[in-house]
Amino acid sequence: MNNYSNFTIQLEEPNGEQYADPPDDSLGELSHFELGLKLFCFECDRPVSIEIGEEKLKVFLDPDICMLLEDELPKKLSELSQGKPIKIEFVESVCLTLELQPLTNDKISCNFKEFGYLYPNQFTLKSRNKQFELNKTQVITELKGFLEQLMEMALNGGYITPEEKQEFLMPLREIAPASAIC
Amino acid sequence: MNNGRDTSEDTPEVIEQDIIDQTIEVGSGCDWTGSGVEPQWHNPKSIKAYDHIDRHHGPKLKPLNFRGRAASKNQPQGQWLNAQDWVKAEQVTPKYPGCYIINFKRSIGKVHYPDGTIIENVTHAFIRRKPDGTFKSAYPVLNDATLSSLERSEEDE
Repeated sequence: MNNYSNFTIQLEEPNGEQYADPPDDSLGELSHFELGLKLFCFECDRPVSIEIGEEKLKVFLDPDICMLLEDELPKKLSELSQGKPIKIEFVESVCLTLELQPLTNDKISCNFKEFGYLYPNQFTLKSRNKQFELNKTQVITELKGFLEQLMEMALNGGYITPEEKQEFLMPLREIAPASAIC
Repeated sequence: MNNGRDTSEDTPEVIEQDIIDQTIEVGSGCDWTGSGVEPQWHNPKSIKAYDHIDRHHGPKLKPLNFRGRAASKNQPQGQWLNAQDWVKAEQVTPKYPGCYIINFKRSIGKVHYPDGTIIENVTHAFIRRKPDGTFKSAYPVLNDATLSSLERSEEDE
């Protein structure tokens, strides 16, 4: 464990700022759950801190984490626990792709791919990569706890129903006990 | 500006791309593979196809919104001038999930810096198309062509 880089993700206190308009589904395109997630992330917006080794990121519920939820993060975590590679992508507050590749012995290779404004005044898709070795149990436990915290907040705020929360988090139940997730 | 009508000379052009999956075509004009009803691709107000674009990079947002976001995120923020241009972007972006930079060859937006500086007449846009064809995000970005003719202005508000 000591050779692994640390991985943490946590909600910060709201900063009282709102930088966007509220979600508007006047065309009636979204399900109750889809619109509920967007409204929750907008109305409860706050910074989210992510640390990967020495890298410290600051993103926001709206839109960064909202996009992860829309990308079915619980399903991705389930796949990661089963030894499948996944990508976690940010394209707003930061431009970053985390490529997580499970290895042996509870180890994950993390390719930290930054793109965007890597140089002043020049946005590019060419990436600057850094490599980290993470502990799979820690990564899944952190993200699982974060997801459950968010869904509990969304439920308590009346944005989603208990059934919607249960269905959304269903893939987390498929995570093997051998991963020591509880 | 030409009111959104592109001639053959100024047809938008893909200048960078990172295609994730080239085995299936998605987006307007393709079979809908996402959940629920198909989005109204031709309507810039479609929350399903363009939600985060309209709310975070739309033309109606005020400069103060962008200055705060840019400062908080410590990186420039793009703003579209015309909502129809992200519909145009959807039409000209390759029908594969992935990341793209499109050169519209005309002004489509501006870029706000954390210090309040605004760069006008931005011609390029970053596009991220999701596996179901909808846009995860899309916003004007700076590039070499922009820099050759940039106009800097200080926000008065």
